[in-house]
Amino acid sequence: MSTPAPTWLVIVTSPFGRGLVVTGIVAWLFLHGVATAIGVPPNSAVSSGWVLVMTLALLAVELRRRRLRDLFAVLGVSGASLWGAAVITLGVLEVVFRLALAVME
Amino acid sequence: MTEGPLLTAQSIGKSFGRNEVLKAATLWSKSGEVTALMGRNGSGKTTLIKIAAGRLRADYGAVHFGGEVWETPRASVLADLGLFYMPDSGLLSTLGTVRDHLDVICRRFGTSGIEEAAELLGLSHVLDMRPHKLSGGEQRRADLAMMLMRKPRCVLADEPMAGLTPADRLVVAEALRTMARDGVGVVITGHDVADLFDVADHVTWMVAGTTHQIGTPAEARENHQFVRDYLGPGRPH
Repeated sequence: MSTPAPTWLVIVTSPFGRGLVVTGIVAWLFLHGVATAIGVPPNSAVSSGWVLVMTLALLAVELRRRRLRDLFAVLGVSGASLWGAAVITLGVLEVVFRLALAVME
Repeated sequence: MTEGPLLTAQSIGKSFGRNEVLKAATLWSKSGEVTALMGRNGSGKTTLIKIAAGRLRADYGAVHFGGEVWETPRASVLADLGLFYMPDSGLLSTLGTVRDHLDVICRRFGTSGIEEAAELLGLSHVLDMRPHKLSGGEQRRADLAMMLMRKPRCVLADEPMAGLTPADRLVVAEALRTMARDGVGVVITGHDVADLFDVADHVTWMVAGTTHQIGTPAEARENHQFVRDYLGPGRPH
């Protein structure tokens, strides 16, 4: 028996976590692109809200499609921690994105 | 067995809309025992096992596991405490190979022995394949390998032998018996009476959302009501 690694580290460094992270980032970029294309300012609350909600919805679909919910349950990953991590990650992405926009302006 | 159950789902009730699926149903799992949860389709077996695993919320009743009592148990907490739930749809995600699944279990719970488990279950040749390339039996054996790697205290397996060849059913049965011999409490559901009776120490019969504890497989064969209503009157026993 070796020492168990922290759950978040195990998930993020596994193909399952990496797949979700890549999906989330691609969806986030795509949705920002859609918002900008239809004329919503990229640094507005409307844009951020739309991107956050839609990215979470796409991740929920991906969790079901990739059959990850049962696997994560076996690993002891709660839904609250999973969605909490997703919201925090997307929040950080959003802050970095806005800072980058401010610098460019 | 004289010691108390490892897991008890006690007096569980559950309705979906107006359809009352469970009525004060009780399921327990004892260390070193295999419990067969049997019943017709729609009798509530899967609902009860999901509630016991924390995957579904009961309307009333409680789950006892790991020395604690939960009215609304969470699957992640029960899993952390050593409960392993194997759904009838399997555990394999399309995002990884069999080895990835076993590796993530090893790293999460600090266990080892991927190659040995794969060899034991005849999975060595498919370790680096993704689930869609595996047969149904290989997928089920991969679920079992995950279970072995986890080293759980209690296993809840929903229809682990459904749709498998006789050879694969034997492998599944032997793996579950081995777990029980090591002190793990095992609950399985299913319909194949011969397979379940071969592996079980105790039979719980579900009828219309209520459970009946009818003892060992030998005692179940002598239970007139069980034989008449479940096995069928013409069945040799």
